[in-house]
Amino acid sequence: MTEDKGEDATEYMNLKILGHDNSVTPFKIKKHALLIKCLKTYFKIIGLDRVSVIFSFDGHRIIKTDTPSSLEMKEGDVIEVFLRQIGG
Amino acid sequence: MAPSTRSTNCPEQLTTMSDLSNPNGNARPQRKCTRSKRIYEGYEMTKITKRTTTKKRSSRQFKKPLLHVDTASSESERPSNVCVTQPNVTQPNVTHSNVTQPNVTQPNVTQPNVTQPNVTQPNVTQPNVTQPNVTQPNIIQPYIIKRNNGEVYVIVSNSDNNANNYPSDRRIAESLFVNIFNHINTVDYNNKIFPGYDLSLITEFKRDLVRKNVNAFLNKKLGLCSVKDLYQVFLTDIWLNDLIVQHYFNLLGSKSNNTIYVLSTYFFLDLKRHGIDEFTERYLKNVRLLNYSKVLVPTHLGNHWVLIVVDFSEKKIIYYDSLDYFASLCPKILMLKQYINLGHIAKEPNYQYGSNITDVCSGISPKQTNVNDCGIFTCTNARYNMCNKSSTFNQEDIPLLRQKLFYEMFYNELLPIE
Repeated sequence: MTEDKGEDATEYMNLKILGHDNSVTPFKIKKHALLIKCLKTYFKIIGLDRVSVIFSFDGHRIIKTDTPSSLEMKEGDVIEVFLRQIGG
Repeated sequence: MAPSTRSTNCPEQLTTMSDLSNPNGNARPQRKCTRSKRIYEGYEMTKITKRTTTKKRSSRQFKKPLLHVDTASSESERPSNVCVTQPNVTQPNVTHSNVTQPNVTQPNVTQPNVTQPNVTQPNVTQPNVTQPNVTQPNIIQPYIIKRNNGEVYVIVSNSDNNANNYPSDRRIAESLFVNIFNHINTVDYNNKIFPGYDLSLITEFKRDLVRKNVNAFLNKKLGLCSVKDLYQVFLTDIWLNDLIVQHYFNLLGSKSNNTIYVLSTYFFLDLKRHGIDEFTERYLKNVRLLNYSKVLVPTHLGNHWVLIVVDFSEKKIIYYDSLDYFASLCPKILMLKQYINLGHIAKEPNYQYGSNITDVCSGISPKQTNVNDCGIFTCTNARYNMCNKSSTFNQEDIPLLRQKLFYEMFYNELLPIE
Protein backbone atom coordinates (compact mmCIF):
# COMPACT_ATOMS: atom_id res chain seq x y z
CA MET A 1 0.00 0.00 0.00
CA THR A 2 2.81 2.39 0.83
CA GLU A 3 4.44 1.89 -2.56
CA ASP A 4 1.18 2.56 -4.33
CA LYS A 5 0.67 5.69 -2.31
CA GLY A 6 4.18 6.86 -3.15
CA GLU A 7 3.49 6.40 -6.84
CA ASP A 8 0.18 8.20 -6.60
CA ALA A 9 1.59 11.07 -4.60
CA THR A 10 3.76 12.16 -7.49
CA GLU A 11 0.84 12.36 -9.87
CA TYR A 12 -0.77 15.71 -10.48
CA MET A 13 -4.34 16.39 -11.44
CA ASN A 14 -5.70 19.29 -13.42
CA LEU A 15 -8.88 20.69 -11.93
CA LYS A 16 -10.96 23.80 -12.48
CA ILE A 17 -12.87 26.17 -10.25
CA LEU A 18 -16.05 27.70 -11.65
CA GLY A 19 -16.74 30.91 -9.80
CA HIS A 20 -20.09 32.37 -8.91
CA ASP A 21 -19.68 34.85 -11.79
CA ASN A 22 -18.87 32.07 -14.33
CA SER A 23 -15.13 32.73 -14.33
CA VAL A 24 -12.92 29.66 -14.73
CA THR A 25 -9.58 29.27 -12.96
CA PRO A 26 -7.62 26.07 -13.64
CA PHE A 27 -5.16 24.72 -11.10
CA LYS A 28 -2.99 21.69 -10.49
CA ILE A 29 -2.87 19.58 -7.35
CA LYS A 30 -1.47 16.31 -6.07
CA LYS A 31 -3.90 13.50 -5.55
CA HIS A 32 -3.42 13.15 -1.81
CA ALA A 33 -3.02 16.84 -0.99
CA LEU A 34 -5.74 18.66 0.89
CA LEU A 35 -8.05 20.69 -1.29
CA ILE A 36 -8.42 23.43 1.31
CA LYS A 37 -4.84 24.58 0.66
CA CYS A 38 -5.68 25.41 -2.93
CA LEU A 39 -8.95 26.99 -2.06
CA LYS A 40 -7.32 29.32 0.46
CA THR A 41 -5.16 30.78 -2.30
CA TYR A 42 -8.30 31.13 -4.38
CA PHE A 43 -9.82 33.30 -1.64
CA LYS A 44 -6.83 35.62 -1.81
CA ILE A 45 -7.17 36.09 -5.56
CA ILE A 46 -10.91 36.60 -5.62
CA GLY A 47 -11.02 38.66 -2.46
CA LEU A 48 -13.92 36.95 -0.71
CA ASP A 49 -14.22 35.90 2.88
CA ARG A 50 -14.14 32.25 3.70
CA VAL A 51 -17.39 32.52 5.59
CA SER A 52 -19.39 33.79 2.64
CA VAL A 53 -18.46 31.08 0.12
CA ILE A 54 -19.09 27.35 -0.24
CA PHE A 55 -17.33 24.88 -2.52
CA SER A 56 -19.25 21.92 -3.79
CA PHE A 57 -18.37 18.96 -5.97
CA ASP A 58 -21.29 16.89 -7.30
CA GLY A 59 -23.53 18.31 -4.64
CA HIS A 60 -21.06 17.38 -1.92
CA ARG A 61 -19.86 20.19 0.27
CA ILE A 62 -16.06 20.21 0.49
CA ILE A 63 -14.79 19.89 4.06
CA LYS A 64 -11.32 20.35 5.54
CA THR A 65 -10.30 16.71 5.25
CA ASP A 66 -11.23 16.20 1.61
CA THR A 67 -8.63 15.28 -0.98
CA PRO A 68 -9.12 14.62 -4.72
CA SER A 69 -8.65 10.90 -4.17
CA SER A 70 -11.24 10.74 -1.40
CA LEU A 71 -13.83 12.45 -3.63
CA GLU A 72 -12.87 10.21 -6.59
CA MET A 73 -12.12 13.12 -8.87
CA LYS A 74 -10.93 12.69 -12.43
CA GLU A 75 -8.92 14.84 -14.81
CA GLY A 76 -10.65 18.09 -15.69
CA ASP A 77 -13.37 17.96 -13.08
CA VAL A 78 -14.96 21.20 -11.99
CA ILE A 79 -15.42 22.51 -8.46
CA GLU A 80 -18.24 24.99 -8.16
CA VAL A 81 -18.36 28.08 -5.98
CA PHE A 82 -21.58 29.29 -4.41
CA LEU A 83 -22.37 32.21 -2.22
CA ARG A 84 -23.91 31.37 1.11
CA GLN A 85 -27.70 31.36 1.21
CA ILE A 86 -29.71 33.11 3.85
CA GLY A 87 -33.44 33.50 3.60
CA GLY A 88 -36.30 34.76 5.65
CA MET B 1 66.44 31.37 31.86
CA ALA B 2 66.32 30.20 28.32
CA PRO B 3 62.53 30.67 27.84
CA SER B 4 62.73 34.24 29.06
CA THR B 5 65.41 35.03 26.59
CA ARG B 6 63.45 33.28 23.89
CA SER B 7 60.31 35.19 24.76
CA THR B 8 62.16 38.42 24.77
CA ASN B 9 63.91 37.54 21.54
CA CYS B 10 60.86 36.44 19.66
CA PRO B 11 59.02 39.78 19.32
CA GLU B 12 62.24 41.37 18.27
CA GLN B 13 62.68 38.75 15.57
CA LEU B 14 59.13 39.20 14.47
CA THR B 15 59.46 42.93 14.29
CA THR B 16 62.67 42.61 12.41
CA MET B 17 61.24 40.10 9.99
CA SER B 18 58.17 42.17 9.48
CA ASP B 19 60.27 45.23 9.02
CA LEU B 20 62.30 43.44 6.45
CA SER B 21 59.44 41.89 4.59
CA ASN B 22 56.84 44.61 4.95
CA PRO B 23 57.04 48.29 5.72
CA ASN B 24 54.17 48.17 8.26
CA GLY B 25 55.22 46.48 11.47
CA ASN B 26 51.91 45.39 13.02
CA ALA B 27 50.22 44.35 9.81
CA ARG B 28 50.41 40.57 10.16
CA PRO B 29 48.04 39.83 13.05
CA GLN B 30 45.50 42.27 11.68
CA ARG B 31 45.58 40.63 8.31
CA LYS B 32 45.03 37.23 9.83
CA CYS B 33 42.04 38.46 11.74
CA THR B 34 40.53 40.17 8.75
CA ARG B 35 41.05 37.12 6.57
CA SER B 36 39.34 34.84 9.05
CA LYS B 37 36.45 37.29 9.42
CA ARG B 38 36.08 37.60 5.71
CA ILE B 39 36.03 33.85 5.30
CA TYR B 40 33.49 33.49 8.08
CA GLU B 41 31.34 36.23 6.64
CA GLY B 42 31.56 34.60 3.29
CA TYR B 43 30.21 31.37 4.72
CA GLU B 44 27.43 33.25 6.36
CA MET B 45 26.56 35.12 3.26
CA THR B 46 26.52 31.99 1.17
CA LYS B 47 24.37 30.24 3.71
CA ILE B 48 21.88 33.08 3.87
CA THR B 49 21.68 33.44 0.15
CA LYS B 50 21.13 29.72 -0.28
CA ARG B 51 18.33 29.76 2.26
CA THR B 52 16.58 32.72 0.69
CA THR B 53 16.81 31.23 -2.76
CA THR B 54 15.31 27.95 -1.58
CA LYS B 55 12.44 29.80 0.06
CA LYS B 56 11.75 31.81 -3.05
CA ARG B 57 11.89 28.71 -5.22
CA SER B 58 9.52 26.84 -2.97
CA SER B 59 7.06 29.72 -2.91
CA ARG B 60 7.27 30.07 -6.68
CA GLN B 61 6.74 26.37 -7.13
CA PHE B 62 3.73 26.64 -4.89
CA LYS B 63 2.22 29.64 -6.57
CA LYS B 64 2.77 29.03 -10.25
CA PRO B 65 1.31 25.59 -10.87
CA LEU B 66 -1.45 25.87 -8.32
CA LEU B 67 -3.33 28.85 -9.56
CA HIS B 68 -2.64 29.92 -13.07
CA VAL B 69 -5.30 32.41 -13.96
CA ASP B 70 -6.13 32.43 -17.62
CA THR B 71 -8.94 34.87 -17.96
CA ALA B 72 -7.97 38.49 -17.78
CA SER B 73 -11.37 39.33 -16.38
CA SER B 74 -10.75 37.60 -13.10
CA GLU B 75 -7.41 39.38 -12.77
CA SER B 76 -9.06 42.67 -13.43
CA GLU B 77 -11.54 41.91 -10.72
CA ARG B 78 -8.87 41.57 -8.09
CA PRO B 79 -8.45 45.22 -7.20
CA SER B 80 -12.15 45.94 -7.48
CA ASN B 81 -13.11 43.21 -5.07
CA VAL B 82 -10.36 44.09 -2.70
CA CYS B 83 -11.35 47.70 -2.83
CA VAL B 84 -14.91 46.75 -2.11
CA THR B 85 -13.99 44.74 0.92
CA GLN B 86 -11.50 47.12 2.40
CA PRO B 87 -13.64 50.24 2.73
CA ASN B 88 -16.24 48.20 4.56
CA VAL B 89 -13.61 47.64 7.17
CA THR B 90 -12.16 51.11 7.08
CA GLN B 91 -15.31 53.18 6.93
CA PRO B 92 -16.13 52.91 10.60
CA ASN B 93 -12.50 53.71 11.33
CA VAL B 94 -12.64 56.93 9.34
CA THR B 95 -14.01 58.71 12.35
CA HIS B 96 -11.08 57.48 14.40
CA SER B 97 -8.53 58.51 11.85
CA ASN B 98 -9.96 61.99 11.63
CA VAL B 99 -9.40 62.35 15.31
CA THR B 100 -6.17 60.45 15.73
CA GLN B 101 -4.22 61.63 12.71
CA PRO B 102 -3.91 65.26 13.80
CA ASN B 103 -2.32 63.98 17.00
CA VAL B 104 0.38 62.38 14.89
CA THR B 105 0.84 65.39 12.64
CA GLN B 106 0.71 68.16 15.21
CA PRO B 107 3.71 67.12 17.32
CA ASN B 108 5.76 66.61 14.12
CA VAL B 109 5.07 70.14 13.02
CA THR B 110 5.19 71.89 16.37
CA GLN B 111 7.58 69.97 18.55
CA PRO B 112 8.59 72.78 20.93
CA ASN B 113 4.98 73.35 21.98
CA VAL B 114 4.74 70.45 24.33
CA THR B 115 1.76 71.79 26.18
CA GLN B 116 -0.60 71.80 23.22
CA PRO B 117 -0.59 68.04 22.51
CA ASN B 118 -0.92 67.44 26.23
CA VAL B 119 -4.10 69.45 26.07
CA THR B 120 -5.35 67.77 22.91
CA GLN B 121 -4.60 64.19 23.89
CA PRO B 122 -7.14 63.91 26.70
CA ASN B 123 -9.71 65.31 24.29
CA VAL B 124 -8.88 62.40 22.00
CA THR B 125 -8.98 59.71 24.63
CA GLN B 126 -12.55 60.54 25.50
CA PRO B 127 -13.96 59.65 22.05
CA ASN B 128 -11.81 56.50 22.08
CA VAL B 129 -13.72 55.45 25.14
CA THR B 130 -17.07 56.30 23.64
CA GLN B 131 -16.48 54.84 20.18
CA PRO B 132 -16.36 51.12 21.10
CA ASN B 133 -20.05 51.42 21.77
CA VAL B 134 -20.45 52.07 18.04
CA THR B 135 -19.18 48.47 17.37
CA GLN B 136 -15.71 48.57 15.89
CA PRO B 137 -15.28 45.68 13.44
CA ASN B 138 -11.61 44.91 14.01
CA ILE B 139 -11.36 44.90 17.77
CA ILE B 140 -12.39 41.72 19.56
CA GLN B 141 -14.66 42.58 22.42
CA PRO B 142 -15.00 40.11 25.24
CA TYR B 143 -18.51 39.96 26.57
CA ILE B 144 -18.77 39.25 30.25
CA ILE B 145 -21.87 37.89 31.89
CA LYS B 146 -22.37 37.78 35.63
CA ARG B 147 -25.11 35.61 36.99
CA ASN B 148 -26.75 35.61 40.38
CA ASN B 149 -24.78 32.55 41.47
CA GLY B 150 -21.55 34.47 41.15
CA GLU B 151 -20.41 32.54 38.06
CA VAL B 152 -18.81 34.64 35.37
CA TYR B 153 -18.84 33.77 31.67
CA VAL B 154 -16.62 35.40 29.09
CA ILE B 155 -17.54 35.15 25.43
CA VAL B 156 -15.24 36.56 22.77
CA SER B 157 -17.08 37.86 19.76
CA ASN B 158 -15.57 38.89 16.46
CA SER B 159 -18.70 40.94 15.71
CA ASP B 160 -18.13 40.75 11.95
CA ASN B 161 -21.12 38.49 11.72
CA ASN B 162 -23.62 41.31 11.61
CA ALA B 163 -22.87 41.92 7.96
CA ASN B 164 -24.18 38.49 6.99
CA ASN B 165 -27.23 38.53 9.24
CA TYR B 166 -25.70 35.95 11.52
CA PRO B 167 -26.58 36.44 15.15
CA SER B 168 -23.59 37.70 17.02
CA ASP B 169 -22.30 35.79 20.01
CA ARG B 170 -23.42 38.61 22.20
CA ARG B 171 -26.99 38.08 21.15
CA ILE B 172 -26.72 34.34 21.76
CA ALA B 173 -25.38 34.99 25.22
CA GLU B 174 -28.14 37.48 25.89
CA SER B 175 -30.73 35.01 24.75
CA LEU B 176 -29.35 32.37 27.06
CA PHE B 177 -29.00 34.44 30.15
CA VAL B 178 -31.50 37.24 29.84
CA ASN B 179 -34.37 34.79 29.44
CA ILE B 180 -35.35 35.23 25.82
CA PHE B 181 -35.16 31.45 25.55
CA ASN B 182 -38.08 30.80 27.80
CA HIS B 183 -40.94 28.50 28.50
CA ILE B 184 -44.05 29.26 26.42
CA ASN B 185 -47.46 28.63 27.92
CA THR B 186 -49.15 25.98 25.79
CA VAL B 187 -52.48 25.60 27.53
CA ASP B 188 -54.50 26.25 24.39
CA TYR B 189 -52.52 24.00 22.09
CA ASN B 190 -52.84 20.76 24.12
CA ASN B 191 -49.28 19.84 23.08
CA LYS B 192 -50.26 18.99 19.52
CA ILE B 193 -47.27 20.57 17.92
CA PHE B 194 -44.60 19.78 20.47
CA PRO B 195 -45.53 16.68 22.46
CA GLY B 196 -43.86 16.38 25.81
CA TYR B 197 -43.26 20.09 26.06
CA ASP B 198 -42.87 21.17 29.67
CA LEU B 199 -41.02 23.55 31.86
CA SER B 200 -38.78 20.68 32.95
CA LEU B 201 -37.67 20.16 29.33
CA ILE B 202 -36.65 23.79 29.09
CA THR B 203 -34.57 23.47 32.22
CA GLU B 204 -32.86 20.42 30.71
CA PHE B 205 -32.13 22.50 27.63
CA LYS B 206 -30.55 25.21 29.69
CA ARG B 207 -28.52 22.70 31.65
CA ASP B 208 -27.05 21.44 28.38
CA LEU B 209 -26.59 24.87 26.90
CA VAL B 210 -25.10 26.61 29.92
CA ARG B 211 -21.73 25.16 30.72
CA LYS B 212 -18.54 26.59 32.01
CA ASN B 213 -16.60 26.25 28.77
CA VAL B 214 -19.05 28.04 26.56
CA ASN B 215 -16.63 28.69 23.72
CA ALA B 216 -15.71 25.04 23.31
CA PHE B 217 -19.34 24.07 23.43
CA LEU B 218 -20.37 26.60 20.80
CA ASN B 219 -17.84 25.24 18.31
CA LYS B 220 -18.84 21.61 18.78
CA LYS B 221 -19.92 20.05 15.50
CA LEU B 222 -23.24 18.33 14.93
CA GLY B 223 -23.12 16.90 11.44
CA LEU B 224 -22.80 19.82 9.06
CA CYS B 225 -23.30 22.73 11.39
CA SER B 226 -21.92 23.64 14.76
CA VAL B 227 -23.95 24.37 17.84
CA LYS B 228 -23.40 28.06 17.32
CA ASP B 229 -25.28 27.88 14.02
CA LEU B 230 -28.17 26.14 15.70
CA TYR B 231 -28.78 29.12 17.93
CA GLN B 232 -30.22 30.90 14.92
CA VAL B 233 -33.17 28.58 15.13
CA PHE B 234 -34.71 29.62 18.38
CA LEU B 235 -33.79 33.27 18.31
CA THR B 236 -36.77 35.18 17.03
CA ASP B 237 -36.56 37.28 13.87
CA ILE B 238 -33.40 35.66 12.52
CA TRP B 239 -33.17 34.21 9.03
CA LEU B 240 -32.21 30.62 8.55
CA ASN B 241 -28.91 29.58 7.07
CA ASP B 242 -28.24 27.04 4.32
CA LEU B 243 -26.30 24.81 6.70
CA ILE B 244 -29.24 24.55 9.06
CA VAL B 245 -31.76 23.82 6.32
CA GLN B 246 -29.48 21.20 4.80
CA HIS B 247 -28.87 19.66 8.20
CA TYR B 248 -32.57 19.36 8.93
CA PHE B 249 -33.38 17.88 5.54
CA ASN B 250 -30.58 15.36 5.88
CA LEU B 251 -32.10 14.38 9.20
CA LEU B 252 -35.46 13.90 7.50
CA GLY B 253 -33.85 11.75 4.84
CA SER B 254 -31.93 9.61 7.30
CA LYS B 255 -34.99 8.89 9.45
CA SER B 256 -37.24 7.91 6.54
CA ASN B 257 -35.96 4.33 5.96
CA ASN B 258 -34.67 5.10 2.45
CA THR B 259 -37.98 6.33 1.10
CA ILE B 260 -36.95 9.95 0.70
CA TYR B 261 -34.02 11.34 -1.23
CA VAL B 262 -32.77 14.81 -0.31
CA LEU B 263 -31.03 17.08 -2.80
CA SER B 264 -28.74 19.89 -1.77
CA THR B 265 -29.94 23.47 -1.53
CA TYR B 266 -27.74 24.49 -4.44
CA PHE B 267 -29.32 22.10 -6.93
CA PHE B 268 -32.10 24.37 -8.13
CA LEU B 269 -29.75 27.33 -8.44
CA ASP B 270 -27.47 25.17 -10.56
CA LEU B 271 -30.36 24.07 -12.74
CA LYS B 272 -31.31 27.70 -13.24
CA ARG B 273 -27.77 28.61 -14.17
CA HIS B 274 -26.79 25.75 -16.47
CA GLY B 275 -30.03 24.13 -17.55
CA ILE B 276 -29.91 20.41 -18.19
CA ASP B 277 -26.20 19.83 -18.40
CA GLU B 278 -23.27 17.79 -17.14
CA PHE B 279 -23.22 19.79 -13.94
CA THR B 280 -26.79 19.05 -12.99
CA GLU B 281 -26.66 15.42 -14.01
CA ARG B 282 -23.88 14.82 -11.55
CA TYR B 283 -26.21 15.49 -8.63
CA LEU B 284 -28.16 12.30 -9.27
CA LYS B 285 -25.20 10.19 -10.36
CA ASN B 286 -25.49 6.59 -9.15
CA VAL B 287 -28.99 7.21 -7.79
CA ARG B 288 -32.03 5.25 -8.95
CA LEU B 289 -34.88 7.64 -8.38
CA LEU B 290 -37.71 5.13 -8.65
CA ASN B 291 -36.46 3.32 -5.55
CA TYR B 292 -37.58 6.35 -3.60
CA SER B 293 -41.10 7.60 -3.14
CA LYS B 294 -40.23 11.29 -2.81
CA VAL B 295 -37.48 13.74 -3.55
CA LEU B 296 -37.18 16.83 -1.40
CA VAL B 297 -35.58 19.88 -2.98
CA PRO B 298 -35.10 22.78 -0.59
CA THR B 299 -34.51 25.80 -2.78
CA HIS B 300 -33.35 29.32 -2.23
CA LEU B 301 -34.68 32.24 -4.25
CA GLY B 302 -32.64 35.30 -3.49
CA ASN B 303 -33.78 35.93 0.04
CA HIS B 304 -36.51 33.34 0.38
CA TRP B 305 -36.73 29.65 1.24
CA VAL B 306 -39.11 27.43 -0.72
CA LEU B 307 -39.80 23.70 -0.82
CA ILE B 308 -40.25 21.61 -3.96
CA VAL B 309 -41.37 18.00 -3.58
CA VAL B 310 -41.22 15.46 -6.41
CA ASP B 311 -43.82 12.82 -5.56
CA PHE B 312 -43.45 9.62 -7.59
CA SER B 313 -46.52 7.87 -6.18
CA GLU B 314 -48.88 10.66 -7.25
CA LYS B 315 -46.73 11.67 -10.27
CA LYS B 316 -46.68 15.29 -9.26
CA ILE B 317 -44.32 18.09 -8.48
CA ILE B 318 -45.68 20.05 -5.54
CA TYR B 319 -44.49 23.52 -4.67
CA TYR B 320 -44.81 24.86 -1.14
CA ASP B 321 -44.37 28.54 -0.50
CA SER B 322 -45.27 30.73 2.43
CA LEU B 323 -45.44 33.66 0.03
CA ASP B 324 -46.62 33.48 -3.57
CA TYR B 325 -43.92 33.15 -6.20
CA PHE B 326 -45.49 30.26 -8.11
CA ALA B 327 -46.30 32.15 -11.28
CA SER B 328 -42.78 33.46 -11.72
CA LEU B 329 -41.15 30.13 -10.92
CA CYS B 330 -43.41 27.93 -13.03
CA PRO B 331 -41.17 27.70 -16.15
CA LYS B 332 -38.19 26.67 -14.01
CA ILE B 333 -40.24 23.97 -12.33
CA LEU B 334 -41.30 22.70 -15.74
CA MET B 335 -37.61 22.45 -16.54
CA LEU B 336 -37.14 20.32 -13.44
CA LYS B 337 -39.97 18.08 -14.59
CA GLN B 338 -38.29 17.64 -17.95
CA TYR B 339 -34.96 16.99 -16.23
CA ILE B 340 -36.39 14.19 -14.12
CA ASN B 341 -38.48 12.65 -16.92
CA LEU B 342 -35.85 12.63 -19.64
CA GLY B 343 -32.74 12.30 -17.59
CA HIS B 344 -33.62 9.69 -15.05
CA ILE B 345 -36.98 7.99 -15.47
CA ALA B 346 -36.43 7.31 -19.16
CA LYS B 347 -33.12 5.64 -18.40
CA GLU B 348 -34.65 3.10 -16.05
CA PRO B 349 -34.50 -0.50 -17.33
CA ASN B 350 -38.20 -1.17 -16.69
CA TYR B 351 -39.38 2.03 -18.31
CA GLN B 352 -43.06 2.60 -18.92
CA TYR B 353 -44.60 5.74 -20.25
CA GLY B 354 -47.07 5.87 -17.38
CA SER B 355 -44.35 6.44 -14.81
CA ASN B 356 -43.65 9.95 -16.09
CA ILE B 357 -44.43 12.95 -13.98
CA THR B 358 -47.40 14.80 -15.40
CA ASP B 359 -48.56 17.58 -13.11
CA VAL B 360 -47.02 20.64 -11.57
CA CYS B 361 -49.11 22.21 -8.85
CA SER B 362 -48.74 24.44 -5.85
CA GLY B 363 -49.48 22.89 -2.49
CA ILE B 364 -51.39 24.56 0.28
CA SER B 365 -49.16 25.99 2.94
CA PRO B 366 -49.93 28.54 5.67
CA LYS B 367 -48.83 32.05 4.83
CA GLN B 368 -46.38 34.06 6.82
CA THR B 369 -47.30 37.49 8.08
CA ASN B 370 -43.70 38.19 8.92
CA VAL B 371 -40.51 38.74 6.93
CA ASN B 372 -38.33 36.43 8.99
CA ASP B 373 -39.89 33.00 9.34
CA CYS B 374 -39.88 31.47 5.86
CA GLY B 375 -37.15 28.93 6.65
CA ILE B 376 -39.19 27.46 9.44
CA PHE B 377 -42.27 27.28 7.23
CA THR B 378 -40.37 25.24 4.65
CA CYS B 379 -38.87 22.88 7.23
CA THR B 380 -42.20 22.17 8.87
CA ASN B 381 -43.93 21.85 5.50
CA ALA B 382 -41.40 19.18 4.60
CA ARG B 383 -42.02 17.42 7.89
CA TYR B 384 -45.80 17.44 7.32
CA ASN B 385 -45.44 16.33 3.72
CA MET B 386 -43.20 13.46 4.79
CA CYS B 387 -46.08 12.11 6.92
CA ASN B 388 -48.60 12.78 4.10
CA LYS B 389 -50.54 15.27 6.21
CA SER B 390 -51.82 18.71 5.38
CA SER B 391 -50.05 21.40 7.33
CA THR B 392 -52.19 22.85 10.09
CA PHE B 393 -49.98 25.35 11.87
CA ASN B 394 -50.17 29.12 11.96
CA GLN B 395 -47.94 32.09 12.37
CA GLU B 396 -48.74 32.04 16.09
CA ASP B 397 -47.18 28.61 16.57
CA ILE B 398 -43.79 29.62 15.29
CA PRO B 399 -41.98 30.38 18.56
CA LEU B 400 -42.96 26.86 19.62
CA LEU B 401 -41.90 25.42 16.27
CA ARG B 402 -38.52 27.10 16.51
CA GLN B 403 -37.85 25.39 19.82
CA LYS B 404 -39.10 22.10 18.42
CA LEU B 405 -36.78 22.31 15.43
CA PHE B 406 -33.89 23.11 17.72
CA TYR B 407 -34.73 20.12 19.90
CA GLU B 408 -34.89 17.79 16.91
CA MET B 409 -31.61 18.95 15.44
CA PHE B 410 -29.79 19.01 18.76
CA TYR B 411 -30.71 15.47 19.80
CA ASN B 412 -31.03 13.92 16.26
CA GLU B 413 -34.58 12.78 16.84
CA LEU B 414 -37.82 13.41 15.01
CA LEU B 415 -40.84 14.17 17.15
CA PRO B 416 -44.25 12.89 16.01
CA ILE B 417 -46.89 15.26 14.65
CA GLU B 418 -50.20 15.44 16.45
